[in-house]
Amino acid sequence: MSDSHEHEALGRALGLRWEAPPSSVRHRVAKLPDVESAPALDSPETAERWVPEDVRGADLLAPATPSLRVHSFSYADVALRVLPPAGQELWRIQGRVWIHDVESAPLRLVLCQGDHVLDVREVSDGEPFELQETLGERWSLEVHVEDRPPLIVEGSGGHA
Amino acid sequence: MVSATDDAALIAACRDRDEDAWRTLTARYENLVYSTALNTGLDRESCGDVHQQVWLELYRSLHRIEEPRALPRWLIVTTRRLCYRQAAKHRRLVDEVEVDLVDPTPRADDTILALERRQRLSEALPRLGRRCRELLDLLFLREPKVPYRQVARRIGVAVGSIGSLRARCLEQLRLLMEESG
Repeated sequence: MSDSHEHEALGRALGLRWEAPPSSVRHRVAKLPDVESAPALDSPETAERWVPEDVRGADLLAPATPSLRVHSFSYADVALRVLPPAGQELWRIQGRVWIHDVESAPLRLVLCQGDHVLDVREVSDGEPFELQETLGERWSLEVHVEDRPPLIVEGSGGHA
Repeated sequence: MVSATDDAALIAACRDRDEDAWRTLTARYENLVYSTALNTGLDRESCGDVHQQVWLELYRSLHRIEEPRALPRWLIVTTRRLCYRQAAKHRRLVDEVEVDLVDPTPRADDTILALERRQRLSEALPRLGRRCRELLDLLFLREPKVPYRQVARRIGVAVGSIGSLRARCLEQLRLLMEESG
């Protein structure tokens, strides 16, 4: 799906009516139902027409993915997903940085472990990036934009 | 954060008649069920009746759940079918017109996909930064619509920047939703 279609679909979803039920309605389902005394659908035969047979459809769903977080700073947002290594592979840090100003200079990403710089990368505003490294328990990703104060995301193990 | 694993654990606990698990499960998806009913055009009183019936049917169906991650879709489809049933019953009472009661859309149509997406949105929105949350709220969730000039003033950007900022915020939202999808 293209980005514009994706945005259109998101916009449509955001535009749907979305309301919490009133407390009186909520109250009616607050406790586990007593199926013996609860009103049934017309009959077992017709009930089949109304209730799907089972709850499946895993093929329609995306597989679970590692955690992604968006960190908001005064002049930018940083989205990061940290993927732990499989076997002998390296840690992978994927993400994007969006600068709030529409016109912005290139960004410099600096991946650090303590006082050591593990990797430096230049990316554009909104451009996806991926860093691959051997990471220890504590690491940080610094985002440098011109002469502004750097943005620092602290990471620990598989989290950021 | 909501996850499919949470749903699986909740469903298992509900099968054992754990009241706390049931409260958590209904709280998580009550907006989805009620809003799905509202979006079919039923009046609020009927939506309330359908809401109650859906949760009852879910409880009856707990033993048939094979894939907990598909629970939101099951709730949407069941809610829509029961709404059609409710609407048809009302129509029969009024003018005794015989209608085909069954919702003819067992597959995933655009509305089901949009509702599933809306459920994921409600989980992802609080995780956005304040600026994006405020922007999307002003642009999409307010009735009546807020004029662009007013949105720009509230967010603190030029009117001409709203479009690109909106695209960025939707992109962030999409990324957050991918992991809960």
